[in-house]
Amino acid sequence: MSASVLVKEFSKGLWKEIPPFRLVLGLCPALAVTTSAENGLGMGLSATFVLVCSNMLISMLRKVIPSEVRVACYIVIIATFVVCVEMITKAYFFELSESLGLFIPLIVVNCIILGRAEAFAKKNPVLPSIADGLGMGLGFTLSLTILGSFRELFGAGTLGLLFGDKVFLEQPFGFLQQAPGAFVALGLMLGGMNLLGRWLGR
Amino acid sequence: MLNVLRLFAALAGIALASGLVLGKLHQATVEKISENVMRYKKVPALLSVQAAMRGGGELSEQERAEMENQLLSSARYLDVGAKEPLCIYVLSGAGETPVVAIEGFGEGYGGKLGVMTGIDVDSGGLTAVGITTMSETPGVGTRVLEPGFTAQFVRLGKDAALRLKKDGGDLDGVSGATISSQAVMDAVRQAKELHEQHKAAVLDALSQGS
Repeated sequence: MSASVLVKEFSKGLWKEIPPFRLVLGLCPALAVTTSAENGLGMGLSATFVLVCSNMLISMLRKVIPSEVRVACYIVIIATFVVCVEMITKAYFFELSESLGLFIPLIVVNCIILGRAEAFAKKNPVLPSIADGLGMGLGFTLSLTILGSFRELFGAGTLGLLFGDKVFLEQPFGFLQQAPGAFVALGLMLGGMNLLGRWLGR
Repeated sequence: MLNVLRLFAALAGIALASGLVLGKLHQATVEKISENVMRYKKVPALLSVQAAMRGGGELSEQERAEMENQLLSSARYLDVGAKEPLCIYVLSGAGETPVVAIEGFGEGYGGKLGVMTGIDVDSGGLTAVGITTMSETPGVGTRVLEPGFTAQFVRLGKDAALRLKKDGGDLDGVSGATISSQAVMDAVRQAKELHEQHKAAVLDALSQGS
């Protein structure tokens, strides 16, 4: 296993196949929780943890799990890690678990995680699977944090993650904090990424 | 047949391992979680019940911390023959009319809604309410938190009808959030009923007091 393979599997999640923009999977949490940068970061890290752990375990068990019941097995494994995350955030990051609410348990049905299990972990060895999960997870975290920062900065006028209570906009566009605003923000970012991708000539 | 057994064994094995892990983790975190629920949910609700009773201004940081610890230690668990003990919080100091807070639950738009209800033990009337847990629609159902709604419960007599005015009761709901408003009232009614049912036990606990 050469290091370059690992780097390739890791880095594809950060730009080339970055979720949710390139894969356009996992949009539900991406739109719902990104009212602030902090929520986006928390959600992204929770999903990353689940993704890395489930990718690792599924890859380890890929020769044991019969293909007829593989999806059921994957879901049990994913759900186990999600409940772990839920308990841990409730015990140690209570305020975050309050603001993410229902979306932590809903990581179970996050398409990215089952998607990576099915598309990658079930046919690759452990190390590349971990690299893939980590890359995808961090890409998801990055996207959610940027989307959350954008919506928080222009929708609420603050950026709590970096600047505490400092107010940047006295009269923010409250629209961006609501659900339709999330779609608009996502669309703007997707457009921006496509433009950037074209400039970089790919 | 053999193949079915193999599928069964694989899935059962994974499920068993998952159950074991989660059971252990639950044991490890359950106390911390209930402590958090207490500190971040129940204590603020109790504080708002007290503030509404007392009136008066903001508390300083130190007064607040003191008050929190006092409230945390004011919990009494009464064995009333139900599956779980009834938890009451003793809110009044010595010499005042005894006030206890009991948490009641109503069914809101997004699930269970909990309300910490302060009850004057002698008269059976309400002193104030504070909402503990809810999952109502942000910006709509969550408006039951606004003082305009909750202030209606302050010093509400024992016989006041806990219904909306349009249903012949005494209270105004939050417009656009009828279900949430009703859930709050249901929760308050439940707390009041718990108090009436177990009044003897409550008085007993108060007389033993600290």
